Amino acid sequence: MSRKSIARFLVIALLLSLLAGCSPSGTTTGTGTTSGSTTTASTSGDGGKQLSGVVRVAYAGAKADDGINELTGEPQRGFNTAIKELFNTKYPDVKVEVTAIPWTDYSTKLQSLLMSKSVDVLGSGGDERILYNQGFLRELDDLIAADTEFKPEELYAGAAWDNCIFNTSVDGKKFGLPGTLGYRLIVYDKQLFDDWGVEYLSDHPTPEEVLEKAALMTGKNPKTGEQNYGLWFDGNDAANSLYTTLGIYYGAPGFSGNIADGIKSLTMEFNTPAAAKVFEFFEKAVKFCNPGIVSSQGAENFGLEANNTAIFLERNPKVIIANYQAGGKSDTSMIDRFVPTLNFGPNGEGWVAADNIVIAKDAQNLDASWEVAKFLASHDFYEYLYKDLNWVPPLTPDKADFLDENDIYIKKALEIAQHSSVNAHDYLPELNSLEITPFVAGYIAQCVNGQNPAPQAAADDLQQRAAKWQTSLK
Amino acid sequence: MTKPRGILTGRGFFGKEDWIGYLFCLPMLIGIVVFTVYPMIDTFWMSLQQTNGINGVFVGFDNYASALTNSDFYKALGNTFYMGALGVLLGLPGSFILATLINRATFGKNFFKSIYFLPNIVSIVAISLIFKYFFAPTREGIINSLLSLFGVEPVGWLVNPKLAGLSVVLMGCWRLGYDAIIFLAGLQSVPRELYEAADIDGAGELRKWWSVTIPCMKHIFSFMIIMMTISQLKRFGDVYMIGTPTGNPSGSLLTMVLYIYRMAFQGHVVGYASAVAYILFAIILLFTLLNMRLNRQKD
Repeated sequence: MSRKSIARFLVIALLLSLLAGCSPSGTTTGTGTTSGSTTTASTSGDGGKQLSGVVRVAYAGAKADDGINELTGEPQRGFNTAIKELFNTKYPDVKVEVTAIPWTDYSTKLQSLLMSKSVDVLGSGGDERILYNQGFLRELDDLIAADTEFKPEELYAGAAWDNCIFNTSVDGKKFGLPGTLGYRLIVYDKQLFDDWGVEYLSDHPTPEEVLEKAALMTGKNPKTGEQNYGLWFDGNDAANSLYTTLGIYYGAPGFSGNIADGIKSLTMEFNTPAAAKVFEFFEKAVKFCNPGIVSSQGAENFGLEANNTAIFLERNPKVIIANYQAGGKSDTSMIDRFVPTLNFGPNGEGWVAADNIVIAKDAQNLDASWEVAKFLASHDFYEYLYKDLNWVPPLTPDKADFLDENDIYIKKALEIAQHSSVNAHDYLPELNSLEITPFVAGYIAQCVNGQNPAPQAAADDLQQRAAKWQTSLK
Repeated sequence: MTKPRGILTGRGFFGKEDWIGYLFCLPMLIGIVVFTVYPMIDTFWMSLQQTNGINGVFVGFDNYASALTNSDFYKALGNTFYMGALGVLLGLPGSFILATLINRATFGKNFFKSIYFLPNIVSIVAISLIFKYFFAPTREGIINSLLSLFGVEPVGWLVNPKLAGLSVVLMGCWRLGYDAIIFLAGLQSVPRELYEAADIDGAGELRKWWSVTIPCMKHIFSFMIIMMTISQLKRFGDVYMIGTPTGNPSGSLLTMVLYIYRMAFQGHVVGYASAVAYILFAIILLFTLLNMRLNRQKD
């Protein structure tokens, strides 16, 4: 073979390899075929409405394929199976392509999909307000108004729908339907209360009651002799939820004014006497906590026999229910032992996160996309999310008729969600991430190390930071 | 002597057969342009805007000025230098000593090489989670449990802002194996005749190590200092896992890259984060040039 022939051969080989590298990794026409994290659930047949075409769904935290529930060890249906079983029976000609978005940097990934116009419907994982403000999402008011069968106010819990900051714009426009709710409860260990001879928490405790009882149960357990802690909360996460919940209780919303007039028009109020009381709570509370709260440690035995903490704040009790399910739903001893209560708000409310289903502004197939969005925010799909993935359905308590009768935690979470409403801090997610969260987490760490400034001084410092952030906005 | 080909010969970049070579380089060049050069230019452009990554307003060098007057920026810079200096000071001699010991082992050399390299194939996420339990601030923590045998009260390794940085650097020392392997390659290239000459001169083991091995390893040290400094200044994974994006406790684990991450991906102030990224780039470049210059002067 001449040098020229060898060169020609190599060039052709190179071009072919380039072509192979640039081509799609495979076209799927069947059901449940996966390629990376993108999967396809398609079907064919007759029946249902005259809807057809492809709807591309990207869902943060979704499980696209069937697998095993990591908490219970039970088989778990993926989104593809659920869509095939529950949606495609009604709309057989709509092909739903699901892309499961991992939680790590999900917001950026969703943003990329929206920028490249590669998605129609999104499970947006909590950052929908940012995506909406960036102009990527479609408002849904016209679709809701035109759909006479759709009665959202009868279906969704208060925190998930009524002026919900996560799916309602500052001027009252809806841009999302509820996907799932966050799950943060006050939970106490009855056994430790019994060991210490302390009266159980009331069903609607105040921060003062919690502090008082936590103080009584910190030290060597009178029965077992083991070190007990009266209280636990996540020192890193507290700024996201506990700080806000305490703000609701003490009447410290963080700012006043109408957000619709622009952030610059707001009056920052992070250093009112009521706001300082939140810092005062942290200063007092850390004395009864495992110092591991600073690094999110110390609650490893929550929900287990070896638990050594009496009261948990803003705790997700999923592990208790998962263990109960893994044990064949016969042993309710831990459910009996760990009791949830309402949160600190005047009506038992607290900070409730709601992830939403949103539609891209450039959605290709709007009618089908709307049906898919409604399906992902429907009773039937919530039932699947609850039974297979242990997700919290954003339903009114009376509509959540599929809950396990022993799941007292979800029932309590829905009760809290029903009472909860908009919270001011959520209007300013950037301020929350940049200033409030690091500041509050840092203050808690300072309290644990006995190096914290006075509560009012801390509140003044946060106020300055918030004001500086506000000034920096163009 | 053969005449040099290409541009120097006046035939331009493409000689008769050169295009094939360029064609083979093309995929890599396209990759570099698309995934390195373009992002660098775009990041610089974003650093001149107040932008969330989508919509932006041109603000000139305001983001740079804003970073250079921000106390959190200096906190992140200070933490990065502190942890970086500690990391190099502990990592460099540590890995060199480890390499020397492996090099002198009379048996099981490959076994030790594998064992010490093993931590490098474990994800930093897994390592961080495991070490969180090692460093737990109560007696349940493995290190505190051992210390309690000597009557030492529990230490807040990852809870006390004064100790958190040191704890994370100590955790990083678990991965010395990679650096040790590089040193080991250098150690094996030291001429044996020098050791034989030192033996004749009556030098002891320590003297040989100090006067023969270390001087012969000068270029490896130089390379390692540069690589370690760059790596330390880019610290992210472990501090993110342990300190969360807040860099807790009290921001003591807030490094420059963590700060950039928080700003860009949590606060969505992408323009500002881009400016900080460029400042970090300039710092790393400066350190690398300084290192290279110092080493050249020594030569």
